[in-house]
Amino acid sequence: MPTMVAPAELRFRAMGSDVHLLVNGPASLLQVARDRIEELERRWSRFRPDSEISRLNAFAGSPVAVSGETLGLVGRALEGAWVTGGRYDPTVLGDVLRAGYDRTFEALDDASERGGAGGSALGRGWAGVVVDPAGSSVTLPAGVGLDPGGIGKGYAADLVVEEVRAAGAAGVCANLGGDLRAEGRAPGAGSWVVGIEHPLRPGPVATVTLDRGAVATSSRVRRAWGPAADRRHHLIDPATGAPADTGLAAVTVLAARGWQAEVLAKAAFLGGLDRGRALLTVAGADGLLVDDRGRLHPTGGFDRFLAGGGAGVDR
Amino acid sequence: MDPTPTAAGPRRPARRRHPAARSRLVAGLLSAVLFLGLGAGMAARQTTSATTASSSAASGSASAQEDTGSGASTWAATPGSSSDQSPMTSSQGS
Repeated sequence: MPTMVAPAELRFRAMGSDVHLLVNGPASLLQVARDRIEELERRWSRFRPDSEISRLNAFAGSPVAVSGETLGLVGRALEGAWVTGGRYDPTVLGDVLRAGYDRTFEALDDASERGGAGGSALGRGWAGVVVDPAGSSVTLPAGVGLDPGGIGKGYAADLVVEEVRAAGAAGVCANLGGDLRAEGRAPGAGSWVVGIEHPLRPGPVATVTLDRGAVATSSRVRRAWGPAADRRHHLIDPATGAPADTGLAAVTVLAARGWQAEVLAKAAFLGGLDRGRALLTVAGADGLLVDDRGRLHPTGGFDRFLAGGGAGVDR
Repeated sequence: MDPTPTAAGPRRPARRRHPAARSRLVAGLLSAVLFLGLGAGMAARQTTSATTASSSAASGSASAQEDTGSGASTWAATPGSSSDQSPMTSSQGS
């Protein structure tokens, strides 16, 4: 008779987000996953002066020794920029700071002004970033800042899921602020169930299931700050250097990896409805775009993921 | 010899774009090609080793190296086959 393994889950705060871990396996793996996420946050947070990302930004123009995890993160960020033709750009830190996002999001409020603290002179330049795997170093161009932001959460989910699976879990899902990766058998019947929150009203806009892969949502609504007359959000359009106004409220993408879903969600959001949907189609991924009026625009294959065989979208 | 008339009638003078407008048009087309040329870029990523992105992507931890293997040949997730009794998580945007 097979041994029944109880599902285990854990919720906590990390990387400025709500984290939700689900493990089909020993509950002790939850703490392993949490420790790993917190370690990655120490390496990647731009709000920690001793993090590897802060050192990269502080010493832009010179090679900086970094860990294998950070090499992997920067490499994927550059790959994301390359495949989207720069629509996704991890070097918008200066623009993010100029929009006022110069402290943790919890410290921002509706009175936060533009301009922010230091770093406002930073420019963009992902194509000039040099990654040296042999020397385990990264060099940012002088005057350029790196903001791993969302891709850090997506890639952290990738690393944690693969490591916890390798440690013996039959299945695991790591959800960092809505950027999630799931592999193996979910506790229960087998597939992972993900509710996609509506960006403009309470409750889910759709419920999807996947056997393996990742989900990420880019929304202009949740991570926003400033007064109503000068409301800003964190999705910077590299073409303008300002928070994007593309007619979309949110884009959710289902892809193979967490970092891929994050890159595609952000690039599709910045591309707007038509180009965003075309991007997902060309990439072979699927997703759901919600415009500013709350209308839903799924990709052609999105229905395959809907729980209940297609009845899961609240149109 | 008289020119042979065509069905389209007399030729109109060619419409000339202002150089700035032409530049904007070219830039827009290039941008569109870049953005929608993702497929070519993604196909190329499997073989190229010339870009910093691809060379660095093969350099991370053991998990990172696995990420660049056969599993990275597609960017597509796998739809679920069952949702009965499974716990639920949510994607709310970041």
